[in-house]
Amino acid sequence: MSAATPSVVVDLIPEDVPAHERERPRVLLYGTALVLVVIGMAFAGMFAVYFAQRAAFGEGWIPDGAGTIPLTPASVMLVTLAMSSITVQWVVWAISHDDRLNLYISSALTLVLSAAFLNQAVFLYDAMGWEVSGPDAIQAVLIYAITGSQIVMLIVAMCFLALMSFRALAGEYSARNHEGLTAAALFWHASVVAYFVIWAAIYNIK
Amino acid sequence: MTITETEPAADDAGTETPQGEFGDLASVVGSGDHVRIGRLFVGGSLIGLVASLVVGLLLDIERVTPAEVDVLDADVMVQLYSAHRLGLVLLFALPALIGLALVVVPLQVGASTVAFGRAANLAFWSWALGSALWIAGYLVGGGPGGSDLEGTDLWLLATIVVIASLCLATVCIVTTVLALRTTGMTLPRVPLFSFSMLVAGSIWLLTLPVAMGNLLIIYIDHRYDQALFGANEAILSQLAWLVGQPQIYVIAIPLLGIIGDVVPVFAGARQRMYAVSMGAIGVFGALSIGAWAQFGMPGLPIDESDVLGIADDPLFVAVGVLAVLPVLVVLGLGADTLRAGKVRLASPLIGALLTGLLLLIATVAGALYVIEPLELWGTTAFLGQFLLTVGAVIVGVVTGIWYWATKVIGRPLSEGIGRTLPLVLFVGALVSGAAYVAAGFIDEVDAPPGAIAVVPDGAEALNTVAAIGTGILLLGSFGIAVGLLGRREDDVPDDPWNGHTLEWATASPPVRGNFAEAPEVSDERPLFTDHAEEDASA
Repeated sequence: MSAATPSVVVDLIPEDVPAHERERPRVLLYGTALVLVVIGMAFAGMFAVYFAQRAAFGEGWIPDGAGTIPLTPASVMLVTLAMSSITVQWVVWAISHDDRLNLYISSALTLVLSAAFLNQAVFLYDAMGWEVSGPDAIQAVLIYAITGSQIVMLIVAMCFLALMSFRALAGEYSARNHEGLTAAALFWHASVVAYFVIWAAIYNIK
Repeated sequence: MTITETEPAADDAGTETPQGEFGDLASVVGSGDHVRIGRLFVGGSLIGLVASLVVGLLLDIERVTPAEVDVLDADVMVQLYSAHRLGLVLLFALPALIGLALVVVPLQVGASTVAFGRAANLAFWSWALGSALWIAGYLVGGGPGGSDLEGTDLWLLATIVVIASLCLATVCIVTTVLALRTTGMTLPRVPLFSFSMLVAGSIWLLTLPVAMGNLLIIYIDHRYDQALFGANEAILSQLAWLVGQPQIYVIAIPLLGIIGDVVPVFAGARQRMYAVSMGAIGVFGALSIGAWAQFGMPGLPIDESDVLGIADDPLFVAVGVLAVLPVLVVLGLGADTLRAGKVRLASPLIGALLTGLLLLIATVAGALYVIEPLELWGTTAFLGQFLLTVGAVIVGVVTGIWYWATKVIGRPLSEGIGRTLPLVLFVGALVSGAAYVAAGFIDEVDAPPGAIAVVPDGAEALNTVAAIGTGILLLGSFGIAVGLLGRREDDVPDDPWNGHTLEWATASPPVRGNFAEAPEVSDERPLFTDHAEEDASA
């Protein structure tokens, strides 16, 4: 137990986990991993269409002028999410050491970083200025479908982490059993990886 | 414990959820009971089966004179073309197998419940809602090829919801096999049906989301500009891989598990070469991964040097031919098990043998379809092979329902109907499927009735035979409903077949929590071993 953990929080931590709880299989972790397989394959299906269309289109896929993709905001978004990946791992480290104070700080920091990412995404979309109709409709449809799906995935990850953090606040998780927060962190890392692939394949390579 | 987990008390009898202030509605809509949810899936899928077969019969009647449309409009005909095939997969085959698995898999692996019981419940209700919207999409003329473009948006979203719901239910089943196995139940000891659901579920989770991703892009394109896929005529070509080779075999993987579980029980012998059976199921699963075998992409220029596209791809041909082998292995080992034991002829054994035979015929038809010199590509052989595979699933699901009836329905079903139904369904599927494969050999094009310019000699006769086959299938599906009718019985045997696996070690219908005490197993057929030891000591 960390010395920094307030006594009011210590009272919430179970003294010992019952035997059947200790032996409980990591059902939520398995389920989360399988859901990530589903999401990963959905992205694979979308990227397959994207690359096929892009290869067939040839030169000038991303037109100059209003329809371009500015790389700087996209890269700042990548750095922001990379930082959130570190802070979410801090969440797991904190709960595995029964350090509630660090747990709450890191959870809050992770959620703030993800909110910043969403704000930056709005800015990027505004800067891109593409419409899903008109001469660049094909590119816009594909790019908005893929990047929008990643944003939805991140919002789900935020809800998942917030829910698990509230449960930790209620004394649900401890150093012996922190499966919920580990599963939320796994989902979070996956959403960061999804954005990295988008950054590399769509924003960077163009 | 997580909020999605249901942990029922082990000492309460019956599967009924205790009634709260909301009564029956809450116990159905909010239940985390895997038996109840499984029943809902099976019941819903049977409605989907009848609806899809009615559509199929309408198409078959129109196809008796393939060059003209006699009964319905051409616009409707194009939509029914996709409704028949996608309906049989998304509204019948997958939910029926999921329903059966939701009831049986937790019992077979010795789990107290299914993983994420309430998520499974959510999966059923979203599947039911999605299916209703999917059908509504067709009714307003929004299916692929239809004229109502707003209806197409509804249809696209409904298809995404249906597939997502099936994936969610699959996650629950696969997690149960992976994480909730009882003490001693190592993966090599998992009963074959549960193992086949693990393999099938994994393949579903790897392939169905690809369709979901494609559909999302199609929806956004269709909703706003229709620049990429046009109005809606190109949608079906994006989804054709779901109902074609090799992907169509994903719905047949659990059939090998049903055969593998039923045959040893009625042979009274241990399954021969258990690990090889598991390997064959795994290989069949690997060969059925079909998301890569897409038939073409709208908006892309046609490569003049490769007009056949995927049809002459060596991997596509190899997979189509090799799919026969694992089926042969499972059937061969089943035959060897029957030879080694003392055969008891009962409805599940008849059903299992007919399922295996039909699946073997379907894979042989599939192998013929991909052999290029036979020139079956684009002909009705595609439809014939599809109907043979789906027919095997129908017979297999009926076999499963009759075999596990005391667990699924809560009472034994009529043995007479159980022996007759698989035979009727087998004949219907064989006649219908084989007639279309034969029509493929005389070059009848696989297209909606009315869109076929040249009708080869003999095609009309073969199409008439196929329509009769579909009619028999439809009659058989009504027979399933008749067979399921009956009153609740008080004295239901726990183990009416002298079963070998754990589901027979608990009450019928299963007690809440499934087992009074968590069972322990030391081999893959724990009850068979117990019976053998009792016989030896006697």
